[in-house]
Amino acid sequence: MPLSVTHPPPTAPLAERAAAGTAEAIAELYAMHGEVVYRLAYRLTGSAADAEDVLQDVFVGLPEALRSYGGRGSLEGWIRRVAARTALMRLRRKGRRREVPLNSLPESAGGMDPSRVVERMAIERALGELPDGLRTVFVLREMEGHSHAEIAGILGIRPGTSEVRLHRAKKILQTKLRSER
Amino acid sequence: MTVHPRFRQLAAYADETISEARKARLTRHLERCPRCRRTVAELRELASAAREIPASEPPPDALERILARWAAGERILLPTAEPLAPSRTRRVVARVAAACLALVAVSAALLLRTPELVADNSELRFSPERPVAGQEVRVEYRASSLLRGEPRLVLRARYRTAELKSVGPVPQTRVASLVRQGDGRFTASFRLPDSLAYAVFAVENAGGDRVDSNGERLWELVSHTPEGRPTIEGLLQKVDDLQMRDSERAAATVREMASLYPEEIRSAVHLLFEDLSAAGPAGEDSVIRLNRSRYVATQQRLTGLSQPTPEQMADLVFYASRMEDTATAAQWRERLIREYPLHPSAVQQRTFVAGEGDRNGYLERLEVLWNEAGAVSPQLPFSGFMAARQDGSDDELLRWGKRLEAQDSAMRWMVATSLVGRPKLRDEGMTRLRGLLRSFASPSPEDRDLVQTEQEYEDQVQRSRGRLLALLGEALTAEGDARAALDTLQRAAEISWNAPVHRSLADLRLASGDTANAVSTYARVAADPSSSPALADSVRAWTRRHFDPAGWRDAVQAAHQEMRAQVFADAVDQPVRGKARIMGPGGAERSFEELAPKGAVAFVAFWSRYCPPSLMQLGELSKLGEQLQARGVRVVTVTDEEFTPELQRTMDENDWNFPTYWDRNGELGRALNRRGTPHYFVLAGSGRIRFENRSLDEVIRQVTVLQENSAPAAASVR
Repeated sequence: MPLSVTHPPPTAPLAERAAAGTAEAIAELYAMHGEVVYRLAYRLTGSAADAEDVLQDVFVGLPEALRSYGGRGSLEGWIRRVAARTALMRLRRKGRRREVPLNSLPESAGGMDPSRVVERMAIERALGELPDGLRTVFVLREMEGHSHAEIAGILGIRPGTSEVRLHRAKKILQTKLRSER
Repeated sequence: MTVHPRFRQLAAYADETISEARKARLTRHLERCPRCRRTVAELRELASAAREIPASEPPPDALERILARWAAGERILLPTAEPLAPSRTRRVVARVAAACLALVAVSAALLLRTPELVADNSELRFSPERPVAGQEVRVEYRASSLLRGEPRLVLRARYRTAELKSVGPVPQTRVASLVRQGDGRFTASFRLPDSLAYAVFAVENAGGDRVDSNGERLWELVSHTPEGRPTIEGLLQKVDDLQMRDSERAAATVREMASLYPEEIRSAVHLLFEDLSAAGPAGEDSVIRLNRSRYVATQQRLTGLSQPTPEQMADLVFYASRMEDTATAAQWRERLIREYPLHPSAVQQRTFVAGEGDRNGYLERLEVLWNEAGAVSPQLPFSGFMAARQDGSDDELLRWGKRLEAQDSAMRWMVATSLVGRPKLRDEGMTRLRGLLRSFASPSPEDRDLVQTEQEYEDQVQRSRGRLLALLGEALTAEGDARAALDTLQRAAEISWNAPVHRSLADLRLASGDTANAVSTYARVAADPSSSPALADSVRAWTRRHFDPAGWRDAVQAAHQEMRAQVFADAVDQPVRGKARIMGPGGAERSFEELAPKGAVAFVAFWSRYCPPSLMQLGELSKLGEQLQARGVRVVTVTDEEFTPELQRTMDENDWNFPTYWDRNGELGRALNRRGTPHYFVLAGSGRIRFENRSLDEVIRQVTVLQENSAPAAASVR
């Protein structure tokens, strides 16, 4: 068990409680941020299995990691950045051979136009084929809504580089998708 | 013939990040262009569909498993540290930014070569070949036909000492007179400086109009230890010197350094960066893995030292951060700052630390650091200036600008142009532009690169003056000082044909009532094929309303003739020597005649990814190539290596859309007499070489006048 510190009162901020390491706090964090972390990890790694691993790692490690949080900026933002970096580290360790998930049909296509679903699969596949560096920026910008400055902070690149990569990603995707029509 | 907007612009249009001005223009284009409309639609669809992609949900038992692992005491270390700035990138940015202004020098040096005067088969020998710094050296030079007939020759050098931090260009000096011995041999003796680490040399005649630079490789001396090993400082300076002119040899030197000095942290760091750069993002993981044991050993060695030097600590910070060991990097950084708070390396790190916090207080933090540390590290004024440029007040920009230019005179140009861009600081900016103009009026011989003749250097200086005059003219226009602006822009226009300068000049002439000259100047804009279509269109539209059509037509014709005369003044007329076969990406050999048959103008571009100036022009080359193809020009781009994934990656990274060929046996290079890269050739329909260039500015004009020659009736003037 991590800490030999008295448990902070339940009225203390969530981050503080979670840093102290209580199961309840972790569960609460998970309830609030679990889906976001999973979605981000899935989009970055392109695989459900990897996303799950990242999800696990992030929340198991969160109590200790929260000690570095320091209250700057929103907690969710901080967690998302940590999750993004964790996902990216995982990607790098796995190397270039990416599994493009074949079972990428959405859980429920319910009510959705089937041709739209096919379209999305095509995009997912094309995204999967992008080089990691380009896909990461595309995901973070177009799907997660980060600014180039934020992406620069997450990835340790310059905002200009982020812009360049985004454009390249779009160009490659557009070319790929057009050729499939 | 329509010119389509670039993909980048269409993407900006699709996601509404485009400027209002461009948007209007693009909307008009889209109204009549189904092809681009389709692209925009596809981009929009892509964006919205991407956002809709669901991620599915985490499995329902995830939380359970998380809590179980946590309860079992499992520890995971998460990457919480915001990554340390890729510091070397910043260092390189500082260095390249400095070199780039002088790269207007260096690449311009490689740019303006006199075609015929090339030395083959000359030789230069030093003895001793492995001198110690401060030693007396004898040199024996065997001239080729280029310099054989000269009564005496000059040996010029670029000396690099160990302390040189490669901020700003390195001066050139005249080292010795080479005395003629007969039979094409020349000799001299000279003494190396005591502090020399690395030196490169070239030979020229007394008038400086014929230069033997050993095919631009130059000759070199590395300082050695008395035992005969190259010093590490010598190798480090060699790497620095080679970075901007021959990156392949720079890489080889890094490897040499690592094998000779495996225990030195500097060689370990250089090797890591070199490996990373060679492998690219795909290989990063394995490079880091392969460097791991060397890294760990280095780290242990340093930890074992009772008193590591601040330089060693700084190197370890870079090393650790690039190895993604952020915790160790942070540790050493903290120690460096604590133990040597005012050492240049520490101040550099403190500058980076200041940049990692909240963006809002960044400049304030840098100011505090400046008050404490002052000019001790070039990083500080550079970072301060860049930040102030982006979001600093006028006061801040001026303050940091002054600090930066005091520190590094190569930055004066950048400081001047930044100041001029702000209305309240324009005066300060103009003062600096004038100062720069004065310094270019009496250029220093030590700024002439080793590979340049006197004439080439003068031409380069002239071009710089032209650019400065254009900048000054714009600033004066903005200030409302029409008279001075007019005068200045006129001088700029006399130096080089430049569409935006012509436009400003024309506007000013019109405003001052000098209608006749305004017309002829507007005509130059309209007649210039390199004017952006938007500019040309707006000029034509305006002049049609205000000038007599016949008079206007005549003026444009006259301008066209002037342009042709200017362009042809630089023309050569050489045959392509022999046949050449080059290799395509699939491995198929093609003959040059097949790729660029007679009857059409051809553009041949030699490029190399190991040549930084060439690499920097790749993006522009790609754009130009598309433009030329649209005009019916045969475009053949040629590189000096075979097709590998690394080459492909370089091409992708630079938005390259062309097939490129490999000049496997050097046949095409010999046929056209290529010397180095970048080197561009324009061939007329007759198949003869009519223009050669080191930059791309003139190519459109050259192509245009050649195409007119073969089809004079087609040259239409509106």
